Amino acid sequence: MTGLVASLARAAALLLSRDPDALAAIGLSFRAALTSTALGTLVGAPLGLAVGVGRFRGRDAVQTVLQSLLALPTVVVGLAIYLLISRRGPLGSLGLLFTPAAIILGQIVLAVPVVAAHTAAAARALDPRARETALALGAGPFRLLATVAGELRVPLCTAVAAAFGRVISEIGVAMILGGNIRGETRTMTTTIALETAKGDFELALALGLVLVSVVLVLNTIALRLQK
Amino acid sequence: MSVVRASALVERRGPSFTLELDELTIERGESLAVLGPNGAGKTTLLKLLGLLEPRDSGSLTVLGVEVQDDPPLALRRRLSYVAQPPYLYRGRVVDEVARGLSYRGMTRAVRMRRAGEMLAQLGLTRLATRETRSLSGGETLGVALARALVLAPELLLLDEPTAYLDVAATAALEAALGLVRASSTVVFATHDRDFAERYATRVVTLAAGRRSGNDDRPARPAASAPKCPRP
Repeated sequence: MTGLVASLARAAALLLSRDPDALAAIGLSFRAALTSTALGTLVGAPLGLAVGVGRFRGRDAVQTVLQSLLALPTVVVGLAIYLLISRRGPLGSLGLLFTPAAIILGQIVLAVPVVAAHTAAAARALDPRARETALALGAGPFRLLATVAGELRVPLCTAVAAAFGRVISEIGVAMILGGNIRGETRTMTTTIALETAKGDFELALALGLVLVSVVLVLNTIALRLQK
Repeated sequence: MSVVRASALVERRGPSFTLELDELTIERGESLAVLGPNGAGKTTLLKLLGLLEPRDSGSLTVLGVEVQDDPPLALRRRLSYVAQPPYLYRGRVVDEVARGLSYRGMTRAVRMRRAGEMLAQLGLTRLATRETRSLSGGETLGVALARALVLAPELLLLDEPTAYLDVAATAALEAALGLVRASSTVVFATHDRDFAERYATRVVTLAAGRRSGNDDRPARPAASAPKCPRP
């Protein structure tokens, strides 16, 4: 117990001393997660709204697929995209493998279903008169979606927070597509895995503290929004 | 000229309810009351006429246009439907009254002027800056009526407008019916026979999803249009 407390104290000291490796990993993790969450929301929110508000054949099937994708293992996403962007893959010429862009690409694939599934579920649970009233007032397809989205502000924010939490804490995509290159593609989660394997717990614990803090803050925000 | 012509109209709602209308014609300028108990199919009929739900079969012509599965926006914008209870989005009342105008691309200045004028005509100016979610049931109905009427619909569909009547709503509803009668056709669902006979020029009665035998008859002469409050 004493050893754990001492390690936590050293980890905190490491963060306060602005350790370059820690700062680089934190910086990349936040940049990648913010970018992928933003882009994932641009795709996922309209998709979720269309599924939740639209009346088309196969809507239940699409929502089931989105729900299922929530549990998609990150390593499987990493592997699938690896096969696409590796040198012999169909997108190999883009030279994305082992770059931050590759991590962001993989994280977008993780973020889209989180935002879309949460948005679709919230839209379907919304009072049906919200859609009906917009139609009755003469809303076209775009204004209809925008009006319903306005009524879903809180669940949309919660969905975005959930997506950010998912991508910043994932490791499979970052490890497989980023390659864990020091100073270039090393994120908080891949650093934790590496340092733990080396038996060097200070940096791993320091980054673990940051990650847990992020998750706590996100959940607090989500809870406040839902009240 | 007929505003609505329906024949062999069938709409199934779940395993236990089907609306079946052999024929229904509504002429321009009519005030048609659809009477019937809960579950008779009044709301289903109004949503079909309001182009908010597709029908299962039959033919429906609204404002001279044969209605297909996906009615054109231009046709939808010629009519308006007020649900029961009405749904108001979050925000200020005056912005809510102007909502349909914003869907039509009108400038903010025009929207605010028209919304203010309509609230005044219905005697609801005092509500203009209130938050919609702070309104009583009657005030909500009044604002929903203003929101529908400001669009000058050729066909106005009101679902149970008497359900939440208080003093404010009664005045707004009477003013609204007076305004509508002058320029368009109104169809309202109600189970209040007195109200129907007071404001309708014709009454159609539904029971278990069908028009009830001899109940389709002229009502007493409609009450004279109440004077609208002046701004």
